[in-house]
Amino acid sequence: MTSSKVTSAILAATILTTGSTFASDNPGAHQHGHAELQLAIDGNQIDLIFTSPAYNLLGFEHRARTEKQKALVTETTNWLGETPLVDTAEAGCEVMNAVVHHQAGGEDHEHEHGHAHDHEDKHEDEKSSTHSDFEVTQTLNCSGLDASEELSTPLTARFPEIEHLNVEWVWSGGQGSGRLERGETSFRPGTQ
Amino acid sequence: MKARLALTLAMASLWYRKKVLALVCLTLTLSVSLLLGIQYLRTEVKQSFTSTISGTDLIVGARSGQLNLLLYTVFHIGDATNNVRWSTYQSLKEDTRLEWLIPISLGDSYRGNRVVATDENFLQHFRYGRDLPLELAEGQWFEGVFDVVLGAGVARSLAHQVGEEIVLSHGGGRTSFSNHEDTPFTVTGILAPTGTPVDQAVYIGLDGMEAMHVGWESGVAIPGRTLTREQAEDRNFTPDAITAAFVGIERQVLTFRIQREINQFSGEPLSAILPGVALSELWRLMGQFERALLGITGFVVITSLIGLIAVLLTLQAQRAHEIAVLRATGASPALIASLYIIECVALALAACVLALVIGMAGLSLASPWLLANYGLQIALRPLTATEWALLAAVPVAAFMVALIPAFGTWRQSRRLGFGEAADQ
Repeated sequence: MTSSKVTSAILAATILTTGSTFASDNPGAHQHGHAELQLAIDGNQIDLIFTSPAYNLLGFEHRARTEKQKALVTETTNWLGETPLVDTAEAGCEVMNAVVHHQAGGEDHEHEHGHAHDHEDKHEDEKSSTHSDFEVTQTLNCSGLDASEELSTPLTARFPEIEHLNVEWVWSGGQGSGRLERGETSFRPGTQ
Repeated sequence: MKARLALTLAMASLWYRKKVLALVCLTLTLSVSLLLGIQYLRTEVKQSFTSTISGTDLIVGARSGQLNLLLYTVFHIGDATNNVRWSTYQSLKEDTRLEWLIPISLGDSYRGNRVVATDENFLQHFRYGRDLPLELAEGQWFEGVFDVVLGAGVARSLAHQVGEEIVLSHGGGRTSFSNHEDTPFTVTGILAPTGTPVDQAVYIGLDGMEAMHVGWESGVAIPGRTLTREQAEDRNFTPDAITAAFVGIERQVLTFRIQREINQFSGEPLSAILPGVALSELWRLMGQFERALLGITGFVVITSLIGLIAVLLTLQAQRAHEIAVLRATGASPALIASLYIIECVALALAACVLALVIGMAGLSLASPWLLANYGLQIALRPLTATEWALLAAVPVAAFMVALIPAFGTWRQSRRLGFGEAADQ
């Protein structure tokens, strides 16, 4: 078993547990215009989790009803599954593995790229809440990651409804965070 | 040939006026030092702040906001709303992905300083600054139930020595009327200064924290129910709860996943925060302060440059005779202009080099003293690109300033009508 498969297994396990509800498990915050991107950087590999209310990405939060809405969901899901959500200045990042989670309906409910793994999706949130979220996990392989000081994300340009994108990162040298406003696309994880 | 002549002349002229120029150079050096100093301080204060804690991947406490958790665990500001069960801490300890855990229990104080109950992992794993470990300046880490280790700031301000006995107070606050008088603690060690809130706290064992609260169930000591030191030595104290835990993760890549799992822990509502992320968010809130320092740097730049211009122009005014003699002996306006420029730039360069040398020497001499007396951690480091740019701006500005009298000479020569003659 390679280490990336191990990570995938852990990843799948993590996602599986998110569906269950406990007394201590308050619903996550849901704020339109606000999204979060978490990056774990290790050598040339980036593991990222992107979470955003569906409204920021689609413009609606209910299940897709019309054909047009379903097409939009499919298009967005495909884009999120195939595009590296962070990249070096030389565009050296490649998506090794991606899982897109949402409750917006459409045809391709879960988009998987690279290694496939089984997991069911529970629709509990849909019944209990009028809000829905997108959650994207990606594993990227980036050539020249060590040398590049600046990383960029296509998210703020692709989805103008995202007004603030909170970026948090962890790397061997420490942790840090930054906030991208509308129109800003790049950040420097090396600095605080 | 001409360049060599200009250089020789400029050097001779500088040497001739060495006393005045030494003063000018001193003024310039001071301005440059001030400029660099403020810029340096600005980045160092930020660095010192953001490295209050390092090497800790997660801080786990009861469910709350990340700033709140960071403030009461690391900065000793504010209080915890809830605690974490001991059983939860034990189950976290069994997680093999977590390399180490430091338990933290808060609630009591010693003359306004926090009492932190913890264990030997605090000394072993807590890191601050650029991955610096804690060190004991004197004595050793606590072993017995009633042993206490003092932070450097506490030991200095209250003039405590190893071996002294101190009485801790119940609850927070500077003046507390309920003291744990039956259970005095013996100072076994004093930590070396760190320049972080670690200096302003005292450290005891988790069992010590439990032992001194036996008989205090109603909030005050009930006579006859509290323990004496001898009784306490024989008992086993397992706390019911701790306030928070600092966590080190073996593979940092898993940080966000473990954070998520802890946040969704089924046993009780927990919050896991990334201290580095919380610190940078806190710094963003205090960005006002950084902007103020940046503003001051800007004013210093402007003032220094105006000072430079004033000094150089005054010098030029005194040289009317010298220039007249040079012109009369056949020096071209270009030669005179290059004289001005070479002199100004040479002065500026000398001032920059001096400022760098003085700054570095001063910093390396003052930084241990600053740390010991004021808890300020200012390290010597190579200059950043911005600082080099600021430094380079000084000779460039000097060059521009030199152009003013140079241009004046040229214009004057035109007016006097021997511009053409000299050019031929």
